[in-house]
Amino acid sequence: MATLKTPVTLTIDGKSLTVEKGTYVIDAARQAGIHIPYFCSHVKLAPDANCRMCLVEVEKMPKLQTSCNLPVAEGMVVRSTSEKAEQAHKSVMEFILANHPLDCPLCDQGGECELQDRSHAYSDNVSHYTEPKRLPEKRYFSPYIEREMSRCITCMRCVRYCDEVLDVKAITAVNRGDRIEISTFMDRELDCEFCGGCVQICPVGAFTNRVALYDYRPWQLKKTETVCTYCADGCTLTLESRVTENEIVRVTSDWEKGRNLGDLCAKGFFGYHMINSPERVAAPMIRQNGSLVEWPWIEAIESAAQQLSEIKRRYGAEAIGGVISARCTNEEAYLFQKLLRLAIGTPHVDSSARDGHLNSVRALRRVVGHGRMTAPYEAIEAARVVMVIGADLTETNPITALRVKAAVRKHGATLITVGPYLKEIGPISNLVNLSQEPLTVTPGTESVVIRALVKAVVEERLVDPSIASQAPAYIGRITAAVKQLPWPVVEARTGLSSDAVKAAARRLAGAERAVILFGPELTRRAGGYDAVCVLADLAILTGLYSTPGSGLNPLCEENNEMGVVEMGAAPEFLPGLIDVRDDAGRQRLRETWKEALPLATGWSLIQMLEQARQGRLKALYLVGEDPLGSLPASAGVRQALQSLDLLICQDPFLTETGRMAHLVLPASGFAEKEGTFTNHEGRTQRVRRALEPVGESLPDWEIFSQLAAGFGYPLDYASAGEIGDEIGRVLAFDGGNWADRTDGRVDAGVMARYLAEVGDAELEARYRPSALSSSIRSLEHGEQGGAALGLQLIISQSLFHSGKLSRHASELTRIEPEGRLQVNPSDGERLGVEDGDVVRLRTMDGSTSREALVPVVRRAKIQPGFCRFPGHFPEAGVKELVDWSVDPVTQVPYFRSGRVVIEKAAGAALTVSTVRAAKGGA
Amino acid sequence: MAEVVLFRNRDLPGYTGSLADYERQEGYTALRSMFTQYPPAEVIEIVKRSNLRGRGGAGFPTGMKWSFLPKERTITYLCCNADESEPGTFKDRELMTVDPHQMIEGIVMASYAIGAHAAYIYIRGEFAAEAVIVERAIQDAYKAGYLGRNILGSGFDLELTLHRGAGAYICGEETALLESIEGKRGLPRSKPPFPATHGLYGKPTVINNVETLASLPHILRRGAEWYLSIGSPPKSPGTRIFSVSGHVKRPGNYEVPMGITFRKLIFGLAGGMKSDRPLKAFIPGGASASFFTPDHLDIKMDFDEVAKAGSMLGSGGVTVMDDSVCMVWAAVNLLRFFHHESCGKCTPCREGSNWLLRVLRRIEHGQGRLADLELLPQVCGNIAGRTVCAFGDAETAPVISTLRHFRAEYEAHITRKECVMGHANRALNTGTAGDSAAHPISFAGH
Amino acid sequence: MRTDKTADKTETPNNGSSRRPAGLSEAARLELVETAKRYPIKRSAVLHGLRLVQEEAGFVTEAGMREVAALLEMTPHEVYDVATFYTLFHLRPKGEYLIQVCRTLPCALGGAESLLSHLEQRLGIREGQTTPDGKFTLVTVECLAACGKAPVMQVNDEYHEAVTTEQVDRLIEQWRKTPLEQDAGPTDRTPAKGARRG
Ligand SMILES: Cc1cc2nc3c(=O)[nH]c(=O)nc-3n(C[C@H](O)[C@H](O)[C@H](O)COP(=O)(O)O)c2cc1C
Ligand code: SF4
Ligand code: FES
Repeated sequence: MATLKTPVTLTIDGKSLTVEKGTYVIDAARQAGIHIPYFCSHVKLAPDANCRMCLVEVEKMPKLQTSCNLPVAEGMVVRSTSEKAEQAHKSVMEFILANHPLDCPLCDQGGECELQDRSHAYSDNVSHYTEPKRLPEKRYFSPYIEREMSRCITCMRCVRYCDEVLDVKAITAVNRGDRIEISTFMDRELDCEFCGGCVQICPVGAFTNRVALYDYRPWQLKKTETVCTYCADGCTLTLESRVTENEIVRVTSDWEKGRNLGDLCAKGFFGYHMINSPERVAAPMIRQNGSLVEWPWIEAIESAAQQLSEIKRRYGAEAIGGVISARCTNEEAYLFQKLLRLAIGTPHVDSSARDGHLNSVRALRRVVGHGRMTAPYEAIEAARVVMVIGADLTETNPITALRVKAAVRKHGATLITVGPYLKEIGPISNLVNLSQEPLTVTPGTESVVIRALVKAVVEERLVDPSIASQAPAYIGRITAAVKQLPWPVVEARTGLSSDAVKAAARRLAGAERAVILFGPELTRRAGGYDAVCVLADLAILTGLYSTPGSGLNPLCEENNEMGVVEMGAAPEFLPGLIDVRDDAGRQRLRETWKEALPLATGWSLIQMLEQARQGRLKALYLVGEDPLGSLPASAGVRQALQSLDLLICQDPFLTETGRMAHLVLPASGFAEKEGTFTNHEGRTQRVRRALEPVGESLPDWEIFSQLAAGFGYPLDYASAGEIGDEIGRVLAFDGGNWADRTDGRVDAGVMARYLAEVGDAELEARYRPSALSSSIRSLEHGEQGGAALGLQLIISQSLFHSGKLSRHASELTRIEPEGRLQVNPSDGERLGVEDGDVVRLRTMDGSTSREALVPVVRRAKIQPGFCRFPGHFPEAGVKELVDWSVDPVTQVPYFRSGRVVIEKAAGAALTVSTVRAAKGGA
Repeated sequence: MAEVVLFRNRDLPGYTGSLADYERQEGYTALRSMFTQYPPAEVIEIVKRSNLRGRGGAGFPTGMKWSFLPKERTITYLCCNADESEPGTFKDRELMTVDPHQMIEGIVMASYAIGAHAAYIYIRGEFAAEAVIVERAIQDAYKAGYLGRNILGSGFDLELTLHRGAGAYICGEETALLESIEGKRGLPRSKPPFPATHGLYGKPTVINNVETLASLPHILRRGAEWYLSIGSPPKSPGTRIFSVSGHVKRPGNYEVPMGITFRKLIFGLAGGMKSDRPLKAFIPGGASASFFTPDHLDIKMDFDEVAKAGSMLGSGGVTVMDDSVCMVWAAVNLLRFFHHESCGKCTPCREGSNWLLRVLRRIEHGQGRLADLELLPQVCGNIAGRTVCAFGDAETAPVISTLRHFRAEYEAHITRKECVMGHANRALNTGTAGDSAAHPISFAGH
Repeated sequence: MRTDKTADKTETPNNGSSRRPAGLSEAARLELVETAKRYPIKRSAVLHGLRLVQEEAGFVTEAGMREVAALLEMTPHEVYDVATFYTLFHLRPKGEYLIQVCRTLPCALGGAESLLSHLEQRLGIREGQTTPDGKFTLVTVECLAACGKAPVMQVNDEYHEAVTTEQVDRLIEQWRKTPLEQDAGPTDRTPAKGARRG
């Protein structure tokens, strides 16, 4: 056992044990392997002591005590198996069972029911209760969650979880005494985040998974512990499958395990149906006079290898490029770049991490040596001050958000949210509600705020002393640079008072432990790279990098963005984030790989598309990527793809891009793979195979080795594990085993270099107001006047979707079937629209003739003059209305904000079915 | 006739309880001199010396309760418990209506003593008219400078707020009361931590009953020694208001020195048995107290004597029953009350109240079994002492005590279908027990 | 689920919307906001808010609960939770005169049962029912703390103590005669007296 801060020694059932002060007796007992029965107590929740099952006898206390909320005391003597205690356990069981139905045979909880289990151990199975049982009437609750109140034991775990952990409060107790039921407002259909927490935490069958209703008996299911494929939070899931049907039946998560400790979001809990989706590509397809037709694997691979070799022969390897999805494993990303760089010999390899994350990696690598979080989840939860900036965290990273909620609600941290969002109490939690000091800014001016924070830190003399002494010159340069940003400008742009900004800076600098989290609304906006550099300055100046428990945390969207870049699936980086131009690094790699690396510098995805249009790129190999579906038309993707000689799409689904491909290769999903993902903390976690590959699909890495073979360049591995071992060897020189490099340790050498090298000119440019011109200026509110309204549009993420993968998950699509334009109720009024009414969107500057028709929903959290649309619904055409630009430094494409004119569209509301139609077979 | 303290103004001709009337009877003079004479610590000392014990039910020494507050504290709250919901108790209601300022003066004194600058009066929701009277008294007190900033130039500030409940007996339990003021359902909290350290909004808090607080002006005006000289010192000094109800000639509130006998109260002050039927049983301290029989008439009405005899003085509600009353029926009536009022938090109370009521109903209606007479105490034993709050114990008192004193009557129902009220042959409706009392139109779920 | 419900569930005072669901009158809204200021947290005023809703609408309406939730920064679920715990809140329309007969032991000893049955046959309804004309609802309640003057009934907010059958008959006649307020429909009256006085 770890050494204890304040050890307390007590005796439980004759066993003497020493535990940390403040431990509850029931937990102390558990540590000693003594099981005291309980129902309402739960690791996730503050004790409520309502079930009274955990009663124990304590010396010198006349009454029996509930051990779930009784803190240990020195010399305390506890008996949980004395006659008195055991009689109490039996009597409480008898009370609970008195009105509990005997429907175990048809209850989905059967086999994993805490009541069932304990009733064997703690009751002598004869009830003295002979009165009629209470039978609450059965009422409809939700399509996703089944409620059977006759089974409820009123432990309130579900209600407490929904409040204490999720901060959603969508279910409550109604009525009192033995008339209590768990319900919603006026007994309406459940409307919440659908995290499944109430189902997971219910000790009995009162809440069960309705999607899998009567589908299984727990003990019949094969359980595979793996990592979620949706977002970068990196949650551990248990995929429960029926082996005979090779299909996932449900998802659960262990309260004691993983980075998520059992908590999940709707995607994790209800989002598994894309795995066995009927829309999966069944077999390889080759384009035969215009249309794609199924083809045998061997020939498909041969044809791919042969065509690629042909192009290489005629135009050289540089005419070939490849892009891999950040949903693939580290092993696959590693093998992919090896395939392209070594087998084919082209430097043009990129990944979907380009879409924002490369801004973080590029900026942070320069400062601390890598792009990972420097404060892991535990540190977020333990921080005294948490600043969340440029992210609607509940929607983008729901489990990371739980850590922030815990920091505030459990540990009393101060939360500073910086963003365009307002308070809103609704079915989806909202960090702004928990923020004691929300900095509500004009949409798009987060980048101004962070510069203002730096300004405040230096001008208010808040600079961390150690840095002040270590790098006076750097401080001097920054101080000079921020002079260019006068407070009046800050106030005019952001809508914040300078005092508010200074107060926030003071909190940040003054905190014992502070963590900053930043997300897509900075990294996916024009100026994203500079923004991260500024945040790094802020972190340095406030000592976040030098104080244990503090840190600067980049947030990622896709599950393995961190990994694919670290594996070298980027033109600028070799495995281990080695700069491609770093000769020493190349030399070392050459030795391990016994192979020369291509000399030319590679192209990013955007450059590849450009080069394709120019006719210089002839073949594009897309793995899990769908640029046509994700990028706006203004990116010119279609022309680019049309000008290719060869387009290979390797994907579990037939994407928009796939429809244009010459060759489609069916890839397996995460549930059919072995390997590892690295979450945005930098934790590298095992991905395990739960199912046999669906249809004829193959794990991406197997396809890569087959292709390599086709080039006569063997890349054969017996297993993903073998690739992992090689990665280990390759990265060995990069400070130990890559997989263990879990935390983002700050590389002191790197930082020293940065402090020395970052010069006046660069800083001057970084803090020059014109550098902010790219940041969105707020509009004259309603400047179009009348029925049409000019609004600032941002494309955001939704809690219920992730990229477009989730669109193939039937339940998620049922929860959020269509994209809805979120507007402030007052703007809704100006437009004269109710929820569900359809509005027409055009670009304000008329740069394109395109328009989009979408339903609206009024959301109080959206500022007036501002509107938001989830980016998971390309068919709506909203993404065609945004501004398009590319970062000059990092080649990150920016296409998630713009200015639009909105007016109510005449005619009926779009129905889900029309949306589906628009979605087509995708 | 021993001296009357709390009701001294009640019977004055033309006394309205207005601020003017109260002041005319030297109201608030004790407050004025308290500010000039005593620092807060001194006030606590006086109250400690007086041995004033809480009138809300538990009879806890008030001064001691105050001294449990942590030395280091920023915010402190005082809550005046005016929820008065214990069946058979109706003293606080009269105290508040006839002399609201007496309570308010006491509240200011207590707040000053414990350093509270915000106090709340939690008055039960049914008391609509009373709420109006108290609210007006509070406004008058503000106008006259007895409340608000810098009270009587003492530099002491106090904001007093009347908080109305909405129909829940359990909210009289001090921690449920706190939850209710916080805007939640009235679920009692586990103790420890006690309100003295973690009370209202998590801050140190004192909860005192109306009568307790109303006694303070008198103690401060006339001194601890005077208070100790009346009633049943040293443990139960002072006067106490007893609410007498049921089969007596003159039911009502009687303020008497602690320590007189029940006989004196029931047969003296309350005029003896109505319709001159013999006394069969009486409840000495509200529905939560065990039944007494004529054998207990000569017990002194003092906290410890009554406790010794196996019941409690509780809330001071004395309910008298003559021999026309069936004890099983009486138990059913009270269990229906407890079942209806159980907040539902604790398994034993929630399930047990339902269980007890159903069994008692069967017995009352002649459908009992002799085994039930073993079952009932067993179920009671599984409730009492195993719940978050004292309600659990309370709901077992009527069952245990009627069984103890009137077992034969239970047996008569079971074996011979005999009932003094003839219920043993009435049909029993087997709906959800107590649902008739479950306010059919106030529960959406029902 | 981002359905049309979402927006009504997301009312907050600072959302810039001037349109509000029919819940509380402007005066009541102001009173509630003022009351909330007496406490360190807004939520403490929820009982008062629900009382205001009931006094204006005759019962605790859905719109009213939503509005109280919005004003006190609670979810509607939390307000509903509270509303169903306290017996004085009625989630369904009730008669203009809510007759609440105490039936706890002291009153039962004082003739509560005969009072109840007298009322039942006078009004032609059973306990828990409302007369067809929406005039009277008859319920039983637990101890009203007036045990010294049993039997006791509370009609809307007013206590009637030591009531005799003759008194009851007189009162019912009198109430039958009182004209209904014009503005309100049969299920939608505001009988509340006392509470708002002063
Ligand atoms: C179920 C229950 C109901 C109670 N009801 C009341 C009540 O209505 N009024 C009251 O003053 N105390 C009541 N009490 C006692 C309070 O919890 C608390 O002890 C009392 O208000 C403290 O005030 P005191 O010290 O002045 O007596 C009740 C206790 C319990 C367990
Ligand atoms: S004992 Fe009864 S009333 Fe008290 S907290 Fe438990 S359930 Fe509620
Ligand atoms: S029993 Fe009816 S008022 Fe107390």
